Amino acid sequence: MLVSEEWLVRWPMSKQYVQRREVSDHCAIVLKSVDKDWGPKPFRTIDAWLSEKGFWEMVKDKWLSYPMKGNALVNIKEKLKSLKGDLKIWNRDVFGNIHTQKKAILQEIEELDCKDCVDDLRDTDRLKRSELVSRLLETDKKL
Amino acid sequence: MIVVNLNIRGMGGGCIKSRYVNNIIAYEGEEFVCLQETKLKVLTEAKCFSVWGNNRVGWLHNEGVNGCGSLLSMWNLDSFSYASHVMGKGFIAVFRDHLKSNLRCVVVNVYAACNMNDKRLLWGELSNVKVASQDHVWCFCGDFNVVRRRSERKGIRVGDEHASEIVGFNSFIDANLLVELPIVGKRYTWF
Repeated sequence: MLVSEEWLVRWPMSKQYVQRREVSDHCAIVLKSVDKDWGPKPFRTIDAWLSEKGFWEMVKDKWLSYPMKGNALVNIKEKLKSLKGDLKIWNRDVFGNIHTQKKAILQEIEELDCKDCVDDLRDTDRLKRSELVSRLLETDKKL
Repeated sequence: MIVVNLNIRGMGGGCIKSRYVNNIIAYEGEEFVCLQETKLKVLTEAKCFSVWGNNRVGWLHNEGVNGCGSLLSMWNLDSFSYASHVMGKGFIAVFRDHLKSNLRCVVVNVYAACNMNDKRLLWGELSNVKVASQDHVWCFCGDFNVVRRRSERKGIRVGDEHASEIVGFNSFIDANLLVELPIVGKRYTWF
């Protein structure tokens, strides 16, 4: 299908969606402009958060800090909504991306190992390495 | 705006084809439907209602020549208000005010004949129709019986005639500032 530029200005997401071929040797084509609005987003958590140190304290503190709004049902809905925003921030700033974390730990271990090849590691470095390894195991558990 | 396009290859006979089109309309939301090769001499009101699923439908049928190049354009009466139309050999241009967007729209249903001369005449005529109403929002759909790039043809040798057909089609598109919409799903809709 061909459209004028004005059409694209009004319906910029216009695409041709090819349908299943059924009754003709041609497929039907549906031209539509799909908006990106997927509707309300559900409240979600990641299992790995639950075992993270400080997670439950954070949730409890936040939950108690939100002001009461409306009746009990509205109140819960509003509190969940606020919590969703705070979880998002906590996930980004505190919890971080597990994959990035793992990469960083592996790199540190690698650096220490290289150092070990050139020159024997000092006790502090050895301690640091074993600490890194146990952190790596913790991270792997979360994956 | 939602436009459904299909070369239906004959609408006579049983109701399987009507039901197929009707399912798409029901699923996507009924606004505008363009069908090619209805191969009907006479199109009854009852047939239109059964394809559409209810009686809130306006339509124009171009019976073509000896059933060749027959076209049917249908639209939801609740989505558009009446303006006008132009009909010619191989096309129906329906001018309507789209109520939801408050735009003056033209949906052109095209069936291009296989021979090159008729195609050239058709592109010329369509260009004239478009030039006459520049302030509208245009959509050309249908069966153009031509490709835009040599690579789109598979399994056949591309001769000189095909080559100049491609050039003719592309210059029609460029001259009228038209845009080919991206396709989701299969690349080829005919086989």
